[in-house]
Amino acid sequence: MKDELASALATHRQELRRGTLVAACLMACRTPRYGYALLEYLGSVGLEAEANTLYPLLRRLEGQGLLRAEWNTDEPRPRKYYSLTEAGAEIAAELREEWMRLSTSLATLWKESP
Amino acid sequence: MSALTRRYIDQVTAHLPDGQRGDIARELEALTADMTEERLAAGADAPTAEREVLEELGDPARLAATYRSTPAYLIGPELYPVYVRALQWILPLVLLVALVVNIVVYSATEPSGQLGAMIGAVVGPVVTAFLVALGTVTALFWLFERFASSADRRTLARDGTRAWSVDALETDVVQARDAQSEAVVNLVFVAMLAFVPVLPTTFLYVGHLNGDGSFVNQGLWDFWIPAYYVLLAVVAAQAVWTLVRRGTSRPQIVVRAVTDVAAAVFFTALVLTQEVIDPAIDSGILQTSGGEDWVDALYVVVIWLVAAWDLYMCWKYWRSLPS
Repeated sequence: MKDELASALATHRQELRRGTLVAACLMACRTPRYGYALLEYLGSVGLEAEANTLYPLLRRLEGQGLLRAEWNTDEPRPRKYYSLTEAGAEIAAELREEWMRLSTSLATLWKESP
Repeated sequence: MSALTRRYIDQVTAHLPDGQRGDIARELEALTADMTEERLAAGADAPTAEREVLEELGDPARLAATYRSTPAYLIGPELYPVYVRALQWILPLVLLVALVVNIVVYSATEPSGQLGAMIGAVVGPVVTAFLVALGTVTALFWLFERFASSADRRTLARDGTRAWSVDALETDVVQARDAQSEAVVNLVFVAMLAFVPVLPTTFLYVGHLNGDGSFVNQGLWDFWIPAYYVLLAVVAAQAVWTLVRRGTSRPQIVVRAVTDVAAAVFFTALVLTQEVIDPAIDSGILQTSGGEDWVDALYVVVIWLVAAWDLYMCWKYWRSLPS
């Protein structure tokens, strides 16, 4: 039973975090970053992500026109830098608003339904 | 970059469209180099660091699937209800057609049919038809799930299932649906029962007992068998009535209950006063075992159990009809 609870918690936590990853990437890419630097940056602010999830996601966001990607070949190791497009900036702002609303709603629920 | 990492990246890109391979390969090269470097800086030796990095990235096929963002399931939740509904319609139809066609083909090609041989000849093709239908429908949905535009998928998901509204919860709708399914089953039963008086004994391996005649005493054609067909016709007519009306009604339930009782009385009289089974079989099996009275009593019990069950169904429908 304890294992089942732990597994349920892990699933719910993963679902919750997965939903925040897109918003987190968009916000972080207001400063141009390459994949691994973004991964480390997200980790440093407490949003652990895995490379095999993040890299495909960055490509998807690029495909949707929310991120722009450019290869930087000036450094010894060529790296693909992702930065926010205008459309991406709009979506990022919307998602942030949504997050604030959710946060307020949860705070209210927590307060009013002890 | 080592040969091992090269092979890993090749395996990932092998699953990807041509246009994306080069770009993703370059990005993965940079990523594996960065990840390895971090581990080397933490004190790991080169082979261990490389192995750890590749293990963290995981199965190349899975990583490629994440890049392609193809669904990791056969039929997704959006189309699943349509898929189930398609199977509910297609599989029974295919089963029925395959069964009928194979039985007809068997009967037409075998001069003296036998039940066992017929089952043997029919089961294989019917099972194959069932599996092919199941596989084909699944494959079509699988393809649609992956290659149709999301707008087309939404349209199919919306139009492919029965439009639902709260009205579907009304008791008369539920009851009408039950009554219609039961009417279809009744029609199938009537069709099967119609064969009973003429079923040849060779069909069940007892042809030697009465020289390939039928199971039922053919002397009963004077009154009893024609009356039996009239009863079947009445039951079939009621089923058709239910299907045409798309449900049942109180007068129909009364007719059905009366038919039940009439049929039970008819069969009781038949069993108690007539020799139903062909006399040659009767003398061959039943009289040697000396169980004729016992068997008649069993028939009567079964007849009234069936009648009681159907009367109970009538009562159930009566109660479920809105007053």
